[in-house]
Amino acid sequence: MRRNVVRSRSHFVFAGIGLVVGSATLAFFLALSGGAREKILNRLYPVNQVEFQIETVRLFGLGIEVPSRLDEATLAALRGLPGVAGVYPKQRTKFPARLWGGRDVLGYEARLEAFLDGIDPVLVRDELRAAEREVLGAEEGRTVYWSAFRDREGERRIACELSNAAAQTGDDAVAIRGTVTDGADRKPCPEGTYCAATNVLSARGFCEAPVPALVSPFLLEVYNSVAATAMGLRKLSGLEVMLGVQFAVLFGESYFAPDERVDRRVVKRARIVGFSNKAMEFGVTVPLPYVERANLALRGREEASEYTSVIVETHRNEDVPAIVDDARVLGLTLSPRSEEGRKAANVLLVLTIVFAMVSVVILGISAINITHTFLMLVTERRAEIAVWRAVGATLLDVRLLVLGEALVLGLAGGASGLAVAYGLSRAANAAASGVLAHVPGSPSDLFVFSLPVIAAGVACAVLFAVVGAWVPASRAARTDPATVLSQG
Amino acid sequence: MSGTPMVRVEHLVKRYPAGALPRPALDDVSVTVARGEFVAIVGRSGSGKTTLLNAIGGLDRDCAGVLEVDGRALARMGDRELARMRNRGIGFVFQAFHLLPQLTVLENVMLPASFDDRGALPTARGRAGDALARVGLSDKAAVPPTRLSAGEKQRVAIARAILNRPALLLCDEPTGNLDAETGRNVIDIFLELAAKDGTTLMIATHEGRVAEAAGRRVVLAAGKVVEG
Repeated sequence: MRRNVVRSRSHFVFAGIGLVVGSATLAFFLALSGGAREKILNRLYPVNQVEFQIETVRLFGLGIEVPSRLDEATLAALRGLPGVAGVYPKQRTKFPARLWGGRDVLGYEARLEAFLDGIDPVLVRDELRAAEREVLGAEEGRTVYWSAFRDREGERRIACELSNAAAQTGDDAVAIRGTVTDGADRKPCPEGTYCAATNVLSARGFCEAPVPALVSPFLLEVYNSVAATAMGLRKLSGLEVMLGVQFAVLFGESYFAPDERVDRRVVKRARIVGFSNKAMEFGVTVPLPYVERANLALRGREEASEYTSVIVETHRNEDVPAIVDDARVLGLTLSPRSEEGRKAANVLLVLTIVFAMVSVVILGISAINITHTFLMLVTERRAEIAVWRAVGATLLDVRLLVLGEALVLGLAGGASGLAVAYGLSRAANAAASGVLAHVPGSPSDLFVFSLPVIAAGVACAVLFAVVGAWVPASRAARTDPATVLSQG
Repeated sequence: MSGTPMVRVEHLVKRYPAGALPRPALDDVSVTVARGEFVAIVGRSGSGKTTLLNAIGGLDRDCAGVLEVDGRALARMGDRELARMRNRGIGFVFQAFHLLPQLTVLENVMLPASFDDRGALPTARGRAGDALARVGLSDKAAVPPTRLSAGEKQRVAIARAILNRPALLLCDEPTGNLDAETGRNVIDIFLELAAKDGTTLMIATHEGRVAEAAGRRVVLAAGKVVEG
């Protein structure tokens, strides 16, 4: 067979071009689709997680009891749905707040209205760890941030006092640590904590660790592309520079809305410990208990027990549609973010199918080409086939010998196609790197050449080569040895 | 099985599709060939010699009548069984040699082993070397057949035919493309095969010298046996 392939190499090269192009196209787009799904879409919109919020449009007259609140009862109902692996409520602060800080990183002190979202730390733990490892490397020998994203107010409470109430809004690192009032030894609050006064009028409070906060990579992108450009500020090179940045949040005061009563205003110190696509895009995301406690303190029990949205994690991706339907009965609808995710996934699926179909058409054309080439080869080699038959080849042997050559052609075409696709993907990455360099958290490689992609590239090339050679193989098997060998 | 003839042909009729020939290519042919016999099938061009050999070798199955080789009816054999018989029990030698130019001489001789379902390939090289030695071409094993003379090519074809030591050798005008001396050498090889191995030989020829070497002549004319 090897000799025959070598002997007919010019025919095979010609016939194999279509296979190379087809399998390269297929592998390129499948790898790109896989990359888009795994490195972008799944990070933004995990396929086994959907976010629901209270349906804003009420359906009257259908006899469906639409809850007016997303509370613990609704969460319990969601937990009881088949296919649900986890239910993670989110709550947003329901009072005005403003923040300031970031001088070390930004070069000036940013002053912003503050919006805080509370999420269950369990939901983002693995993601935070992976993201931090991606930008800072292995955890040994460096500060670890992600593990701080948890509720730390339950830790041992140490009473403290500030030199005066105004100290809590200043930026003197020593002053805000205050002095421990428990015991006779008057020391500052422990390293890494500050003295959190009970309100802005008071100098007394408890030593607390800063509120662990997450930011969205999107926020950095907006800052770099809009704010920094417009205001002539320093651009941030990467997400890692934000880790550890501290800022202050004043609950109850706003740049836009009426302030809370002064005795209800509280200053909290916060520290960025990670970044996540699940974080609020224009705001700060903190562990849920912080938001619940703040809402309880400023808005009361009723408001503190109602959630803004809920993320439902499913056991399997296939469970999502049924859960979406069931959640609708509970008066929940997909959040705009999840709706976007579904639409993006559908668009990606359609594009993948379209490009796969294009590849299949190319492979189909190459199969026709292979049919013609092999018919020609079989005709040229009638005498050889007749000799095979004379020395003991069965009809099946003849058919398999021809199909075996097609198989070799398919393997070679598929492997070459994969190599071409890989080369094109490197070129595409290089071309995209200039654009994506400004997008924080964007993948350096847009493609995923997984085993299924490689297998699909080679298998399709082999399949179409064999299909193309099927008719010639049958014709070869029908070669009449008596006639051919008698002709001389 | 030793009592049964090697070849038994009775009332064999072969017709080509309408228009190809005005008469049957073989018309009620009956021939019996004993084991170890050397039979020459003689007749003019178009008399049916090649058709008869092709039918006996199972290369042409579209015939009516009784056709048995080594006691087995070819009509009852499936493709696999027939192919196995051609591989192990029957050797073919053609006028045009039909060697594969992309293979070396040795590889051409080894070709039947490629289709031998007994796993004979590992021993094929040695057997092919022996077969080449028997036809005096050991020194040509590594060369392509395109570099051989006509006589040498025919000897390679004989070596290929005897690789699996078949009981029956069917030769179609084996000396047709050879000069007189080379032809004599080829006939000598056949005679030696018949003498040493007891191989049954059926040689289709229109050359008198070949027919004279055979123990029996079967004469065909217009598809009928007219003698033998």
